[in-house]
Amino acid sequence: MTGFHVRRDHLKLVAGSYLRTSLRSGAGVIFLVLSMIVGLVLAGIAVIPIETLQIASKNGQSAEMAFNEAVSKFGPGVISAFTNASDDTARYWLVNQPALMTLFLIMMLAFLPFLASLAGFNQTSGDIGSKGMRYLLLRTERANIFLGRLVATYVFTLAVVTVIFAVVALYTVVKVPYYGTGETLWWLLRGWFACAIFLLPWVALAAWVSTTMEFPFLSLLIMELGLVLWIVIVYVMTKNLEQLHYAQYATPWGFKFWLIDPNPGKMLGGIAVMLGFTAVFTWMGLRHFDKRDL
Amino acid sequence: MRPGGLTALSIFNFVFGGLAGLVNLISLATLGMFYDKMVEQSQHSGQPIPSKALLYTLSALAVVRAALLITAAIGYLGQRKFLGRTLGNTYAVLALGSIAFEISQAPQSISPFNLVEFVYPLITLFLLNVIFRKDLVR
Amino acid sequence: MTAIAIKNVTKQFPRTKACDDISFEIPKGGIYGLLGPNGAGKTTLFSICAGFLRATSGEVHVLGCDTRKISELRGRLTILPQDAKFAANMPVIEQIIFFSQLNGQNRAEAEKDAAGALAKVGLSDSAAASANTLSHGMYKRVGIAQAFLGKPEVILLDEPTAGLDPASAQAIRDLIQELHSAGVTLVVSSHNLAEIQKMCEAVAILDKGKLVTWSKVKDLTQADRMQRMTFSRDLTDSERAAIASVEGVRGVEQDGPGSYRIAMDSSKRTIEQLSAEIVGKLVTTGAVPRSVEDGVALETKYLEMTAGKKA
Repeated sequence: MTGFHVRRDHLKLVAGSYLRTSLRSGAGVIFLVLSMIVGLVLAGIAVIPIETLQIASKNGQSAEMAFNEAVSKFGPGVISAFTNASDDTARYWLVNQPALMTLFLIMMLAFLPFLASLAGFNQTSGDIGSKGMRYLLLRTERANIFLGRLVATYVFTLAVVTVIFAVVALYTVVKVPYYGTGETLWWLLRGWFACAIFLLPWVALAAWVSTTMEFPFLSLLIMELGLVLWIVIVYVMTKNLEQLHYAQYATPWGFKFWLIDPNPGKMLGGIAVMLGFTAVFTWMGLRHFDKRDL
Repeated sequence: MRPGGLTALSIFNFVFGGLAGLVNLISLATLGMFYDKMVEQSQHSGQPIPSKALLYTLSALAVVRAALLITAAIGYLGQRKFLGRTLGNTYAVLALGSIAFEISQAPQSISPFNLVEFVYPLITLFLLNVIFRKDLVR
Repeated sequence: MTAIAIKNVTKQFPRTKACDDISFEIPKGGIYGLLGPNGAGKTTLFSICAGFLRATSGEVHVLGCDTRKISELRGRLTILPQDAKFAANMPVIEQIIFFSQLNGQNRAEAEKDAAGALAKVGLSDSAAASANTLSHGMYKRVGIAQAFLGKPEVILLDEPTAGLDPASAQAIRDLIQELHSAGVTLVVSSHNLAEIQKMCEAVAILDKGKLVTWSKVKDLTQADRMQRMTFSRDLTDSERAAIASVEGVRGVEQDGPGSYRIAMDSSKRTIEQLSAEIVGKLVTTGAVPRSVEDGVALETKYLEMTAGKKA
């Protein structure tokens, strides 16, 4: 970050203080509890139809056979609704890997941008509006405030995601004995890593949007509405306008499933793209924050 | 003055405690009436169900947890050490113990929604002992 | 040695130019005043010095350091801003400890420093309170505590005594003198011209974003004095004319019922001589002054320079 004065000790102090302040606020606790509930409900959505089909299966069938039959009925529907994966990729996700975990990962990846914007919309906007950053500005450079809060938001959101993954892992190990524990945990770990990478650009985007607004509510509205609108546009384009489907790659959204792709080259490409988007969003936010009046 | 987070936590406690208390009180009251029907259904579907005694124990524990949640919520609002921090921690430990007990005794009865019951005590422990440690001292 | 160097600072807001090519240098070790009517650009200039606002052009150096790299100052510059906010949900002591840590202290030193700063402003008992539970006066005192945190060498105080009760305001003035004795450079913006004249060595007067003057208080006031005389009734036109006719009286202005501000030139005759002659002329008309008090000469000069606008 040439041109910006960044100090590691100040980054750490700002991040720690921001984390504590956020968690002590009503909004922080509500985010923590609700995001965990939503994440776990998503996990439930992946699991319940399969459990229902398994229970409703005919007598005489083994539980494992009924389970696999349920997965094969439910899985492809989810894959085609959420992704444009090729048959080979879909097979890899549903057959080569624990399918239930794949369905959970796909839903988590779709949910993460919303989670990130909920966590990050107020990184700076509220304090810009209320002049709540002024005592800090006297003691540290703007870059340390912006990046410290961004890091804190990322760590906080990733911690929430980690807890969701840990609980889902525990549930799967206890409740779904048909997958090998090692196989399940390895796939979940890879999924967790994909989520950790996919979160980065969205938290950075939220940080950028937050620097441009003086009202946190407006920042949240723009992030969430913008996301929904973009997802709808991308969906319409990819399903109906063949020639415009490349537009989805204008944001990290279009690359999210590259992160769990069986092709290592594509997966690494996905990571590089996410880091690239993160760098661009962070630089844009930092530049705006550095120039504006606070 | 009370931090906003503590107020939010107490509201969650009231909501979760109220709902859980209500559901489990109803389940305690009606278990005797419906247990035979549940056994009949389980024989038909081949899915085993826990014993009646175990179900009574689990429901009773859930009612105790709900009562602790509500009492601790009152403690959070008053920033009380015993009513808030001690009873809140007691709830969390009891809840985690109950889930562990349930998993060991009747893993088939666990549903995805029990995951929330598992996570909320963890959040409670973290918030009471790290974030709001110095706020519950009265 | 220069404490603050303000070089060609201009700040253009969408509709107004709050600072217009302002340049002056504040030397180290004194108390200096920043005056001007509302909207003159005082707070904007303070905010640019502290890095809250970015100047459209020009630059500010504090103790030789560009304020864009403010952490290099490590707490040597502090400010009491007019409208800054503390985090609502955090105990004030925690916030002050955090500021101290940013100044480069470890946790133990920061705790000691924060407790000391709160004690200085009489808020030791409220250290654990959240900022949003404090009264206006207490909130202001927490702001003052953070401004006096650590070992600042330059302190900018934007209206330090505004909104405080007389005892608290006096305590702040004493604290300012104490810091001055310790060699700290203080720049004070205030509407209380008597306070400024009493405390400051030099003042900068701003009007409409421009620097009108940057002079020593002594230089501004040596030829100008002012007295306020209060009578039991309003003076007649002839009585006012009688006062104005006294040699050395530069003007008579009513500033309240029966109250008059009389500007005098004390370069040729003493104030006592002038006052005695005025009283002598009025005695014959029956308008005997009930009180005579020294006015604020700086106020006269200020009003002249800012075309009579209220500070």
